[in-house]
Amino acid sequence: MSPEEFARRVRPHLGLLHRMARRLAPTRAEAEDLAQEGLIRAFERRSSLRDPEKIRSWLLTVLRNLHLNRVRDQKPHLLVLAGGSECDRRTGDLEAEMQDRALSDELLLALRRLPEEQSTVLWLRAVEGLSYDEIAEVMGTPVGTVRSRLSRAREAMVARLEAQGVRAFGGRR
Amino acid sequence: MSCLTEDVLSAVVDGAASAEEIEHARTCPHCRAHVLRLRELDEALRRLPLAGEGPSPTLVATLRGLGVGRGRPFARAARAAAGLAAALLVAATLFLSPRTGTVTEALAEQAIASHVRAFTTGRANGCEVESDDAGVLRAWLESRVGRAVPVPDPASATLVGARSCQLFGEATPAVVYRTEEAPVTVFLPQPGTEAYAACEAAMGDCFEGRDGQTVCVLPGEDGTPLVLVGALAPQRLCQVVRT
Repeated sequence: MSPEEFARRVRPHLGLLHRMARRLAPTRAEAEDLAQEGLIRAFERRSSLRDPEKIRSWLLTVLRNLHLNRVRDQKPHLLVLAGGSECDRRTGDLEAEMQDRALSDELLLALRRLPEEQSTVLWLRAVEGLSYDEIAEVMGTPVGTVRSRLSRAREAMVARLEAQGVRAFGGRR
Repeated sequence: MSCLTEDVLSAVVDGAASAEEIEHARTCPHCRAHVLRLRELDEALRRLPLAGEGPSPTLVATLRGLGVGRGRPFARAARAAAGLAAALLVAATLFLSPRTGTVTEALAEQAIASHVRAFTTGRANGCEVESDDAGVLRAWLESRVGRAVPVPDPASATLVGARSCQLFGEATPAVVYRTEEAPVTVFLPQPGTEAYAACEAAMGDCFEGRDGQTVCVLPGEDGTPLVLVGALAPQRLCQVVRT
């Protein structure tokens, strides 16, 4: 796939890529870095995309795998060659806290408290409108697993929100 | 038919249940109420501000850069232009001073991503090989790319090490320096690569990117381009490779 064709096929899905990264990463800056690196990685590996019609789920797979690898590594956030890391970490935590407060009502927080594989399935289905088959490709699981994770995610969200006295559907009681 | 399981009720929301199950969910008060709650949850998620966000300008610019052919310049002007104009008044006589203008944005975005990524993947100083000896790094890089690689050895920065990285999907040697203020990566694009062509079109330009990072494209001692990245002001960054 030529660079031009790659850009043409990916362009309609940039928003999806951005939102997925924002949902996975704890801060806006990390999400931006994740989305950008995911895009570059997809570009570098574009020859492995067998069916260009499935580029949407393939992009999400690349992004999610990148995220999971980063989480697994759990390395320090950035940057300096010597000293100062304590300061960086504090800044990151504060940003995450502020973001949670500002971005989100209880709904988004409840979503973030779900296991990642449940919240991702729910987000991709309810918000992004992916089919069960597409979600199964992204998650690398059978369709039946997608279906059961989706059900568990929805039930957990409704239960949590109702327990907190919040109607997910229409704001506070 | 007895009431539907949660699994099936969720499938009803997605239109993925059987016709019989959907009919039951429509007529059974208990199941209908449950499906309604699940649907309202989905609708509430779609109303979240995050659900309406579009891609960041950085992401759009990155894709635009990946999609351009060899040597095609980037349209977006360097955001450093205003600051550079002032800096140039002071530094106009310096050979390595940046000129006001644009640098291939894709090159800048990828250079920043590589620079930042190098410090987030577990290598504490972003290097594959560590040495403050330019000769050692020169030999290591030559073994990686199969050709001689000039390694700048400036007085105002300390050599830390080197790595091989990717610009435009092509192996590009990079040298890491320590300055008093911040680490700096200097990429050394090889002749015949897209990165090299992009540098030729952007020689002398600087660009301010995300996370406070600056990118400058400057000629090395032999005239081949160097791409400098670091969280420094453009003029200061240019000084890093002055010998």
